[in-house]
Amino acid sequence: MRHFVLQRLLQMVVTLAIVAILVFAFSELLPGDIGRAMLGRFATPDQVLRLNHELGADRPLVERFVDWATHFAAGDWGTSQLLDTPVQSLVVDRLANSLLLSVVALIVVVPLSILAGLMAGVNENGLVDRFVTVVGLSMTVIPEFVSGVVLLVIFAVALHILPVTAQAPQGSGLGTRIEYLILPSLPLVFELFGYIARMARATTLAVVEAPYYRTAILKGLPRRRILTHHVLRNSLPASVTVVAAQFGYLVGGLVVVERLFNYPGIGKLLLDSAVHHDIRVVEACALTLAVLIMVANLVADVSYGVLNPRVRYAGR
Amino acid sequence: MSELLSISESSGSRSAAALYYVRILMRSRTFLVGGVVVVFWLLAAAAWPFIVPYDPQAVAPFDAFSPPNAVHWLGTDQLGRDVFSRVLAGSTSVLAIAPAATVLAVFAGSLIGLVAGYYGGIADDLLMRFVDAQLAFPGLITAVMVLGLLGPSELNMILLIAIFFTPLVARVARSSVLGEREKDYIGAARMRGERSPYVMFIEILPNITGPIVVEGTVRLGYAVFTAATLSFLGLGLQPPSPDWGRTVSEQANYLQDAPWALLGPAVALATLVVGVNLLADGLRRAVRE
Amino acid sequence: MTTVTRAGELARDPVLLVSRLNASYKRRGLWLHTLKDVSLDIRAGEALGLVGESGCGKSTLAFAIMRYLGRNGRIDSGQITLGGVDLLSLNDERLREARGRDLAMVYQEPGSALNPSMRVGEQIAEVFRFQTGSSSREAQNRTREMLRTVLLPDPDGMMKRYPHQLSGGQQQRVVIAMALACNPKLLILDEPTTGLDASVEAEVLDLIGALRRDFDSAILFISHNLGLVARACERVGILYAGRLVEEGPAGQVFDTPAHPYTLGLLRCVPRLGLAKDSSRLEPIPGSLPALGSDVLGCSYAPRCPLARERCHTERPELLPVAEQRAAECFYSSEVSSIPLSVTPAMAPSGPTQDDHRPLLGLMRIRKAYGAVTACNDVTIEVGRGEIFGLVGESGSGKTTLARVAAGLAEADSGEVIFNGDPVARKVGKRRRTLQRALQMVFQSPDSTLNPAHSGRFVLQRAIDRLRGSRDVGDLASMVRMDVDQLGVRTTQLSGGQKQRVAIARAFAGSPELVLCDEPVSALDVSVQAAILNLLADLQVSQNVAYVFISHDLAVVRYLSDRIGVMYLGELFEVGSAEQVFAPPHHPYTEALVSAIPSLGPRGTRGRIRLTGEMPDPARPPSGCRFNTRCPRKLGVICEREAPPWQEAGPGHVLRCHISPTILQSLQHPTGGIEPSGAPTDTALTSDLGA
Repeated sequence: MRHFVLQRLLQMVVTLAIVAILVFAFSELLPGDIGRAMLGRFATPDQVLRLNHELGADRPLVERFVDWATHFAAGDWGTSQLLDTPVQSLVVDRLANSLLLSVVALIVVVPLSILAGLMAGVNENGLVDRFVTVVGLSMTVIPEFVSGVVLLVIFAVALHILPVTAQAPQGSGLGTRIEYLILPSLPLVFELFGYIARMARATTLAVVEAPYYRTAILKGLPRRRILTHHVLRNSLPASVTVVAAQFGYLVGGLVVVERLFNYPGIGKLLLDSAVHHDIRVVEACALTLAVLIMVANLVADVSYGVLNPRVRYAGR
Repeated sequence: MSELLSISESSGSRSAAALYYVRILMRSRTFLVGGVVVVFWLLAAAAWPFIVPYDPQAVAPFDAFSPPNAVHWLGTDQLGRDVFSRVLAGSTSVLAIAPAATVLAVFAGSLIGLVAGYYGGIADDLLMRFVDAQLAFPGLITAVMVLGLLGPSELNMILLIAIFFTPLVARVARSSVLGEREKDYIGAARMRGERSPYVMFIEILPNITGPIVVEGTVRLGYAVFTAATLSFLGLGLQPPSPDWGRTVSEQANYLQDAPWALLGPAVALATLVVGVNLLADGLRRAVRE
Repeated sequence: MTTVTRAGELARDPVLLVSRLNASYKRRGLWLHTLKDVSLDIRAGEALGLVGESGCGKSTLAFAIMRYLGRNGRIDSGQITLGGVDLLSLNDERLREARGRDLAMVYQEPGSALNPSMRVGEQIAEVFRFQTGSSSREAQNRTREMLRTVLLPDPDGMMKRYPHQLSGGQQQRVVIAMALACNPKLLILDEPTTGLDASVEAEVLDLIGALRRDFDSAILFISHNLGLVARACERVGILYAGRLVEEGPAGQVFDTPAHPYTLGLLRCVPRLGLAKDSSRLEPIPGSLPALGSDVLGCSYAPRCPLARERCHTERPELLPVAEQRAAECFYSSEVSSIPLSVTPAMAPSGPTQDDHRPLLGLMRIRKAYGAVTACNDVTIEVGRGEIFGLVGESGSGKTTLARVAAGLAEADSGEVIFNGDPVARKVGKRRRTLQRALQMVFQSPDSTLNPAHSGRFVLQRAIDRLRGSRDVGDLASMVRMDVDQLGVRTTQLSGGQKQRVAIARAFAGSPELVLCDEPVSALDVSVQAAILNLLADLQVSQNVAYVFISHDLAVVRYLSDRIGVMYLGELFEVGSAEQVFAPPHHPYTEALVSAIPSLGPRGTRGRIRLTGEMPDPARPPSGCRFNTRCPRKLGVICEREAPPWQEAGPGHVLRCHISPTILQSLQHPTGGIEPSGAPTDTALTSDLGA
């Protein structure tokens, strides 16, 4: 078991290194001449040269990478060219906002979708099952901005129940802030519900079709006992893993939702800084998100190992 | 082991088997519904110049913000342009980008998955590292970064989407190959001295097309999803293109004044992606039989 | 409908009574009539064996009784009564109570029948807690007791383990413990030993036999193996295409069958002691009727040697033929006089006089997969035109050895020699002439042919690559197949047909040696016979040698000229078929032979049992690998030193610390000494007990 965790950790470190290199490479190379990209068309070649020198863009790539990586690890993330603020505080601030939004979405979607998937799997072709398969499928596939827009029109414009923006007025309490976040969280909920519910359904079906489910029934065990100890115990680990693995898609959804609702989260920050070539911010956002996603995947893997006796007690 | 009768037992040739598949597909309601929707949009994309009631770009300031009525079925936007026509015309971009990217991804992914699954070893490890990295960094984020930094363009979008979907197709191909590789008929082929290319393409490939086709169709749905989302984020086609994603992004500013201009392209997009996924679902069921 | 009565047993009513049961299964939207008018009864403490080939409906019957046919199955008509209670009319709650308490089942693959996430002890305790209302502590105690009853060592430790930490035999014991926990009125065993090694199978059967003394459940024992049923059951029922065609006491039914199908089955199974030179297997002509088809007249008529006009138009009922016996045939009295078909016994094979050079030599082959040494220093020589049988249980290394010979696996050390020359390890690097000369037939008919290709494509490709001189039509007739059947995709073919194509493929280039890895294990008994006959005939007509691998000793004995016995990666005995199967032979061989369930009288052969479990292949025992289970273990020497090869006769060698002369006197059928520690026999066994 310990070997398992160590192996995963090592893989994560390697992947992180690769990601860091790629992020750096993209950010530094793609815009072409950085100085020019930042100053625009009308700057003189001299100004561009000076800015490049300031930014250190004229040094060899590897040197720049090492420099950047060491600074980053130490906590010095540079300064935003656009907003003239330290990148770290900017990113942390925005990240907090995004986390709040994510938590609102996750608290709703996770229990709901796992439960729905379980019920669907246990009663194949029943009402819940039909709902999960057909509707769930559609929900996953509809882009967040589409569902967001439709929801906005219905709830904010037509019915006037929920606010149009996502950001509560300054100084509002947690409750109000959450109220403002309901609408933006819904597209995320839809997106994740479909996928998680269908996965939970699939693992539950696999359990129900397994011979040991038949054994449990033919032992004459009460239905509740079968559901908790025979079905849930075997389908939950896989479902939990799926949830944790959704982080990547969640982040993607954040970018869209934050853009649509103009919410100052890390997704919007990434988008804006990429479009405006604010290199340091782009790098910081990308790397932070990568780390978060990787940690979530690691937690998913490890929790699966813990919950599955075959992995926990590998070998006789 | 018992004698199972099958519809195409009598002829058993390739075409009869294909016919069998088509019969199963036709029986599936999901497949048919999805098929109808997709065909509708394909026709719209191809033939919109002939069927639009108004020129999608025609500006008519005095007609701005009119709600849906008999003249403008979906109303007009802030510039008085007919929303219905713009919706029809907007189908082209998504339907040009998404299939192109998907086809690329399927070809590349199948090849890579086939080779990695067959040979194993380093090629395989490399592929799996790639897939892991892909999971760590979802395509959308990278696309945002790259397109933002490079500048939006249709070609870049196609390439990016293709690049991100290739490992996913490869993974499906690879695991199918792994399932077939240990089977005895492969051993029998080796004992005849068959070379690797023969084994990969003549022995293994015909048996893994099913899962690849299903994955490809699913990818198509996500390609539409991704292309539209990127346009929405401003990283795709630029105005005044009636591209759906772009339009939604633009019209969001006029949410209170002309919600119909917003809903038109949004719902159109929703129907297309759902249609494609219903197709995929139907295919998946047929393949399982 | 008269049930078969039992004279002198009027006081005991049947516990299980099944009357005219009809059941159907839905497949691809069509309802197939799977069980037709089946009636049977079982008394308390009595065991009824139910025998049939695939698709005959035996599993359907078991699940119908448990009322677990699922959405795809339904009971059309009939009655099932258990202890006077009508099972079919029970509501859900009463049914739930009956299951586990009055009716219990033991399954085919014990590994997958156990919840992988729950400790074994808890899975047994559950039955006590929920069916008898025991408290948690009571349940634990009773579980411990059950574990002891099924002879599992260290009950406390065992209770805490998870199923994947147990061996196959141990898992099955746990399943049996769960089933017998509440002393059910009826115990159904659905192929309980399929998938278990021969030595483990014997132990499990012994256990069931022993348990029958303590529990008086009525037993329904389902199997496709006639020998098993003969050994374990008092009465037997034969199912054919969903109908019960014969029923009666096991000994009588197998001795003098009253239905042509029963006779057919008996004649196509290789029985221990028979070899191809003395007798021939008789496959049943024709094929099983399509699943669920309802024919006019007797369903067996198309294949029956006794069939007359009446048989094709009128369906026979289950008619009594003697006391306590019944059969569904108008002409049951004539069954015993059906002659064997007049094909001569086959010409004996073996190396021709002039060429004694071995054709294939596997010299000191060593192959490891990670920590597991699949083959450890194995040497075998096969002569021209000879059939060399290789036997062993799972983990013995026989398949690995075959794959090394085939070039599909590379040995870590050792050489493969063909016709005197060493050959490349990887088959791709071997010369074309060698690839032609050395071919293989694989085990599973479903994976041996590419499902996307047609039979014709497969054969034509083989002919082209191997520069065969025959064409597809010739090959087809060689394996007795219709050329038309080759036009379809291979998935449309039956198991037997697929193997025929696979055999034709192997023979496409006129090989000199064919490796046969369990070629008939996955086939129905009646099809097995046909394929075995085909293999035997081809061997003679084409003058090829075989390395014939199987875990079924009777089959190996039937076909082989010489035999090698492997255990845990090492070769322990080699000799001619007669030599290996009779004393003096290696104690492992002795135990394997003794474990074979046979149809005939047990004779003077006692029952040798192996103790313990198959060791972990990654950590084989030191010294003699067999020492941990050997019933004739000498002592410490067996743990310290690997045993030497000793000559037990001309061309017969074995590896044991006991000398062959001593083995001879220990193992001799009369006056021999049973190894001590053998478990006591049940009433069904022969007189020579421990």
